[in-house]
Amino acid sequence: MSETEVSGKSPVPAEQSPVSLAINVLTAPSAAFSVIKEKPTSLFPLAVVILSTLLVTGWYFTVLDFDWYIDDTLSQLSDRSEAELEEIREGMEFLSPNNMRWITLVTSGLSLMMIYLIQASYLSLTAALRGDEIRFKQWWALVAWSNLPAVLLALSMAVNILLNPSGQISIVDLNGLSLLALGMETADPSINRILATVNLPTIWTLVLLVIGYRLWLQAGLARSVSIIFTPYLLIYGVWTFFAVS
Amino acid sequence: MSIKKILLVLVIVATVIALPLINRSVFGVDGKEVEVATIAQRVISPSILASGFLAHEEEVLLSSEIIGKVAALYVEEGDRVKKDQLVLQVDDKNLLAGLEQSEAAVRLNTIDIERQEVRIDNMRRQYERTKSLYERDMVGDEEFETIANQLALAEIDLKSSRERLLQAKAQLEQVLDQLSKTQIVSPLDGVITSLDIKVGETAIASSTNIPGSSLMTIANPESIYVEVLVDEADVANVALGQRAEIVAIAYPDQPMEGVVRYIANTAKVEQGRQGLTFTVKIDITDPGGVVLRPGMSSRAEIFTRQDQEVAAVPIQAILFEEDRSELRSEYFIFINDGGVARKTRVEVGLSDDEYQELTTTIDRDVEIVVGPNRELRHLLDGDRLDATRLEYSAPTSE
Repeated sequence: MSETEVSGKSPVPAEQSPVSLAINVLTAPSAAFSVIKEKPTSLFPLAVVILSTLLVTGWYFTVLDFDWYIDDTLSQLSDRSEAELEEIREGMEFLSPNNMRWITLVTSGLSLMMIYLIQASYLSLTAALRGDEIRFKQWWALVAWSNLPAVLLALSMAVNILLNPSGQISIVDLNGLSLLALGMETADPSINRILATVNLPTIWTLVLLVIGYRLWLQAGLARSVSIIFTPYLLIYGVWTFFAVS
Repeated sequence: MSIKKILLVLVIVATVIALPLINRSVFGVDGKEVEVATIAQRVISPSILASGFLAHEEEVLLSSEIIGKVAALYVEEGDRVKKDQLVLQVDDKNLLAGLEQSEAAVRLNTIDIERQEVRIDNMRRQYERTKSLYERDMVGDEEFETIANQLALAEIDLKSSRERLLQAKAQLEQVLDQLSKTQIVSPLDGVITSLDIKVGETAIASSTNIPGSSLMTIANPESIYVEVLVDEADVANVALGQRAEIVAIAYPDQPMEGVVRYIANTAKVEQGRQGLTFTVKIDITDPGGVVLRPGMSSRAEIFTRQDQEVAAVPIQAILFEEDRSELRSEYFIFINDGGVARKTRVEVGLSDDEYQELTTTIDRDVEIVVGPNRELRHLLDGDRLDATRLEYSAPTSE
């Protein structure tokens, strides 16, 4: 795609509406990131991703079979003693579905903001170490727009909620775009747990970050990929090591 | 914005929506991992639980009828005693002195009567002689009347002395009776289960629970039984002769066998309980290795119907639904209909701790979901099943 090719001579980008910019981020990211670098707005992608995530999460806890949810959660904790499980069950039963919904909504929103902040800080730091003068606000905007594919994750979750009217579906199974859901299940439950957290929108986000980083800093592909993917490879590498050992 | 880009986004969105559907059609929906079993003939032993304690049927609490210092104790706690065996002696020195006195009084009165009888005999002879002389006018009226009067007075004195003798004998009997009460004997063959007094302490004749009023408790160990309190809601199911399994709290792993021997006619509110209960006595027919001690806390499971084989399923397979607003309560089971759970209404009968009778006729080859409970709790009509057949549920008999 010509839009994704990196060029050192970017034309002065024309101003675009947030919706056009969003479609461009998904279909022609290089052009979109040029616009974002010049005018680093982040409200629209933040609002779309956070609202869609919170809406679907809230819906999930509305239709969720809470008793089933407690049993399903406890069944994952096979290493705990009966007394510990009973203690956890009492704690969960103390939380009503409504309380659980609000707690999850608040923690989901805060978690998203925290992840964006860490990503933007990391990119800002690596750029500063290289001597490039790109402001934190611009990196924050890049991260916000690059995470736009997360909307597809919310959409997938909504479809799965519709397909399970009984409300007996776990959060893990709700994610229809994870590698686990896409048929990469292994015989090792520990590996499966890792695969359940890796999903297509996240990979797409990383690819968008690589494109944006490379475009803004005029960096090589290998360097951009290594900068963007290294933290994830480290996290998943350590996780996999402990999972298989 | 080009149409191509919009179409591309729509294709992506359509793919995301389609992926779960494709996933379902390619990989299928995971069935719930459940255990299934066919209906089987089983022995159902419905029972009720009641708690109580061990007690002796033949048990006496000995107390003294007289006040006195304990002079001797001939038994210790745990000793076996025979009926009428002397077990305790109360000091009888004062009573022995009184006995001597009473015996002497009897003897004195006896001697006095003998003397008076001799005197009366003599006076009768004098009277006869005087009478003979009087009839021949050889003595005067005055002399004859004097002799007659003296004889009558002597006879009255004799009567009086005889009454005094009776009085002295009665006093002697009284002293002997008191004396006999200084010797405490066992009223039955048994064991000293409690010894509440020591030599030198004072035995007190009293019904109140003060020190010295209770001497000892003797019980027949062969007469031990279990006394339990059965809730009034359950008592209608209890009958004489029913089998019971008794567990003493001190021996939780050693159940004993017993038979219901007695059911109280009247309900009582026992101390520490709110509802009405009936006292039920259970004879212990096989104590096993349990050392029975009266007072032990016990729990009895009374089997209210004799063992019978009925069509039954594990109790966790029966689901109960109640709608109080419609006054409706129904029982359900889930059957495995070719890998799909089908909710089926059933009628139930007797149950015990493990199995419930199904009075609804179910084909013998129909697979019923019997577990695990974590799946059964959330099973819905139409859920796909990944069923494992349990072999243990094969019929025990035909």
